[in-house]
Amino acid sequence: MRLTLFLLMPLALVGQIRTAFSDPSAPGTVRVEIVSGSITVSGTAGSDVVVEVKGSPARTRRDSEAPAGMRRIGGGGGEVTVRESRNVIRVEAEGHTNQDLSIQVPAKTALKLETVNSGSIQIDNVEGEIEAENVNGSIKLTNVAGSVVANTLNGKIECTLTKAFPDKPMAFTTLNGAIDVTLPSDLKATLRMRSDNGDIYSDFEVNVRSERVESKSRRGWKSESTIVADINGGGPEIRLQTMNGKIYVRKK
Amino acid sequence: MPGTPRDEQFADYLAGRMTREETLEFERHMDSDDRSAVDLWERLADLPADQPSPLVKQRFQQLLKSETHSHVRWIPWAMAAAIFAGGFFAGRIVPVQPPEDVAALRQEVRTLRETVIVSMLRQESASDRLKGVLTSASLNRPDADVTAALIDTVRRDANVNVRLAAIDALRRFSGDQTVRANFAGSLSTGDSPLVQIALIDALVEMQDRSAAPALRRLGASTEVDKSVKERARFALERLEQ
Repeated sequence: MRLTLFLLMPLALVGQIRTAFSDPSAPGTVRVEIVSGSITVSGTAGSDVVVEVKGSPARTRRDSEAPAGMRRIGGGGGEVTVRESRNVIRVEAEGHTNQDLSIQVPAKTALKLETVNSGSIQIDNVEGEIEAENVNGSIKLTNVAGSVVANTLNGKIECTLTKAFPDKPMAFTTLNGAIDVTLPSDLKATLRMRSDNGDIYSDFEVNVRSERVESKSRRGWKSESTIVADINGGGPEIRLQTMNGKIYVRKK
Repeated sequence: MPGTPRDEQFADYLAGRMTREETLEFERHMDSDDRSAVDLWERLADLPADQPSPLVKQRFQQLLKSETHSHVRWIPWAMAAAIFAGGFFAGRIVPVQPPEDVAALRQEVRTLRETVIVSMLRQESASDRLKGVLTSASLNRPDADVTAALIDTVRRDANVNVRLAAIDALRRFSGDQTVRANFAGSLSTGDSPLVQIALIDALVEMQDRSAAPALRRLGASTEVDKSVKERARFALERLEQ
């Protein structure tokens, strides 16, 4: 039987919480799900995960409402919880209180991050399978390695990938916003790109395999054009799609 | 069932020779242990799609000839398929009861690929599920299980990108009534606008007029994103042209 560690601690008591993976020798997974607020994750040399709630106006106000000589220790919803089980650390916030989270993780960690409102997702210096979902905000990944599956609705997606895991497809999708990805210059990949109302740019030498353009109808049906192109001879598929925005595929 | 399942276990599972308890435990294991499924997948990933090269066929038939008279141990068909798939050289090590028909063997390999794709679609990692979806595109005519699994992915997958890829993968089955009905049925007002737009585009491409009521509902809804409403209205015009 596998030993299962389980930690559950309300953050309000400490403001910052440090959690260890039950098996630090294998890359762990950090999952974050919040409804409102930003998520910033950075890879560090350490082996623990450190979660910090940045003072949001609502939170600071509530804290300041504590009577003299007392401090707010919880209640009222919106607490952030951190739990570890089988090498997965889950960070969740209850309710719709705005939470801006800043999280330090070991440099090799798989990430699954989700937020909805009033915030961006930023990831820096992490290697692993990365999944990021936002709705009303941007996604910015800097110096990440591994594989990336990212989508938002209203916001830009930026990603600088230093190294790709072999044989892992990736995807970047938004509705309203640009997609700007920088890939290793020797990356073998097949790009499937579609922007309904924006241009597509690249400094890679692309070998266009197919291009499909749908005609406009008399009442202005927006044309759909999907371009499939190989870089460095082709490889795992990278999907890039936006409706209102430009697409940039840059060579590092 | 600790560790990576042995090939024989896959074979027993596929051939339906496990007891009910063993089957359940095997499925539980495959569901809980990403590595086993991924490992199986990795080993089969480089399979030729539907047409093994004539050279492989020729070498295999030579092998069959040379093995026909030898004293052989019974190895199930699925095992034979796995060996054929995994590599010609495995066949040199393990004596194989020769199947009589290469076409049947090819069918076994194909079934195994489809099983692998369905299992990929259940992986924990979105990238792995994406890979399952994209790999299904390499099958000329996926069987009903694969199509059903793709439809399930469109309806239920936790990741929007994986759902979008599944919609793309199913678009080539414009003649399939089940696919069309499911696309129209998946158009719900509360869904991600990205998925809604992809479904609308697919329905227009399939010229599915039966989708009109769902499109009208979307176009009239107050809780739906503005771009989706526009798209739904344009789609209605196009279907009625």
